[in-house]
Amino acid sequence: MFCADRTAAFKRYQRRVQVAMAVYFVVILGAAWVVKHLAVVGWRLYFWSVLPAVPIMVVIVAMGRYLQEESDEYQRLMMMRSILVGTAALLGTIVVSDFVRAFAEVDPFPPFASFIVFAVAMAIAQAVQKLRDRSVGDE
Amino acid sequence: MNNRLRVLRAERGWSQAELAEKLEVSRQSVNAIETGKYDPSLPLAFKIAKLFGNRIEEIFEESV
Repeated sequence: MFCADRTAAFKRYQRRVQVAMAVYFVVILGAAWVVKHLAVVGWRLYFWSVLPAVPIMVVIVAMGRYLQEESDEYQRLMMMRSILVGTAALLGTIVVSDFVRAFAEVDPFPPFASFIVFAVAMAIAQAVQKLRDRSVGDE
Repeated sequence: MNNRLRVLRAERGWSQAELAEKLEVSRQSVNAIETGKYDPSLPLAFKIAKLFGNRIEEIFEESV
């Protein structure tokens, strides 16, 4: 979404995502340091393993809240299309990874690949929609 | 669906941004409706019709 066209709901969504991602980078670095240097085991290891996923969950919740709060139906539709494209790319990646692992007996795709695929596909879908919108009838 | 939104807007000398503000939607939404890339919901179609003082079917018509 280009700056001048951002709705209030989209600005709130962007702010939530930015905060969540800032927290994510702090948490992921902290968790990696703790697991590597403090040799945690048992429930503490699970705690530090799950902790970096929390800000990612917050981003997913932020998408849901945006869809709830956005009063502009066309903007909402564009976000839903983007999420759908991201989800399709994510499921496709998982399915390919599973079959390659099952039949070729190779390692699955590396960790975190699925969410990156989702985010990149969603971003591409958003960019394509914006470009398409700007190409015709702009005043 | 075809529509006369661009014509009606031009008659009043409004920009897309001005119309968007009156309808409380984004300029992108107005652009998408005008160019036929997006058909508005019934509540938004009523809002557009009310703003221009027309009936919905006078602004929007089925594509043939």
